[in-house]
Amino acid sequence: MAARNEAEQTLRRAVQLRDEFLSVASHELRTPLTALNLQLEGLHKLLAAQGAADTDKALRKLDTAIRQGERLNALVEGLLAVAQLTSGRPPLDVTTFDLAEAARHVVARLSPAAARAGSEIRLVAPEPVTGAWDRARLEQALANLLGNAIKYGARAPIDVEVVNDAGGARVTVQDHGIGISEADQGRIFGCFERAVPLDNYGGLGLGLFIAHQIVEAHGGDIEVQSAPSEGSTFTVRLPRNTAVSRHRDTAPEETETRK
Amino acid sequence: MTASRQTILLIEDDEDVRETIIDTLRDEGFAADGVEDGVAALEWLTARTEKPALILLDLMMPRMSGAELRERLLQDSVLSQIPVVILSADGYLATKNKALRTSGYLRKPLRLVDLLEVARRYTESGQLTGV
Repeated sequence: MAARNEAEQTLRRAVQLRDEFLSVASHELRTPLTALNLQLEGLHKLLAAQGAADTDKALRKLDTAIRQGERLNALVEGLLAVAQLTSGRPPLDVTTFDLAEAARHVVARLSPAAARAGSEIRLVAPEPVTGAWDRARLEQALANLLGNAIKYGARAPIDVEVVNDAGGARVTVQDHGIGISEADQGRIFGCFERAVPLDNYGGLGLGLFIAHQIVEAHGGDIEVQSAPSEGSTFTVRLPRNTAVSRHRDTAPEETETRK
Repeated sequence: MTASRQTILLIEDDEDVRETIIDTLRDEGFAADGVEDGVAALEWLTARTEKPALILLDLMMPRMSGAELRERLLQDSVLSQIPVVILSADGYLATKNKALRTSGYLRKPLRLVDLLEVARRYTESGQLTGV
């Protein structure tokens, strides 16, 4: 009995240490990125306002620096998400919002990257899709699906649809790129799993894993339909309201400040 | 309407982040001031009769955290009326926004466009001109 109590105490301590580490790691990693990103964006705005021809080169350099900063943000967010999601299901930060509006926000953010990769993102979201979910996490899940579509989309258009579905919401992300073999489809949602050769593609093998974990944490499901050279379609289904018992609080009357 | 009524007070312990945000807001024509933690914020607020139009509040800070400061503000009939927007890397900002009865939140790392939108929303005339 005493040994069991000791083991439980050790476990609780480990969980507490992990939670503290994640909280501090989030703070420590995101704080310098805040200053770095704002300085770069401010410098870009300053130079662009001058409009002189000799600032063009500086602006191009800054564009690159800003993109690399955003890339670093995405990596940090991905690593933090994995650390949280693999150490037990975390409580969700639930608020009521329009998933269609959130999707427009994500699409607007990723459209420049898609354009550089030669793809256009076409969003169909004809009506509000309102529900109680964790906005930041669902935006991350959608961004991961879109990131994959951009990366493996073979310069073809990417179609995103956000609609009300029976009792919830449905989001589809369809690309027309290299596709995924049937054999690989069973493992692509696993942590660190990659279905492409290291010689051809980078990436940590975390994006689909994170998307899958986030959707599951909401009580939803995610599936893929794909064939080599015929593109991939990822379909996410979410219940309208995340079960209250899965997280520590709800704030249904609130909306996010962040757009 | 005075410029001081439009002041945005940033409470943020990281000096680089604090100076970056203050510089950014001032570059855009806003009146902005910054302090390093909750203790300094209370000193700043009690030393002035004109209160800020908006407080941007970090949560994880030494001496007095953002949550502790918010509790103190809510106990004061005047200070509790100042809109507070959380500015934090915390992963549960919707929950904390509700618990701390704040007006909203900005998640770090934040984007320039989101910072300026919040600044405009809470200052009386939005962007000052000719500054």
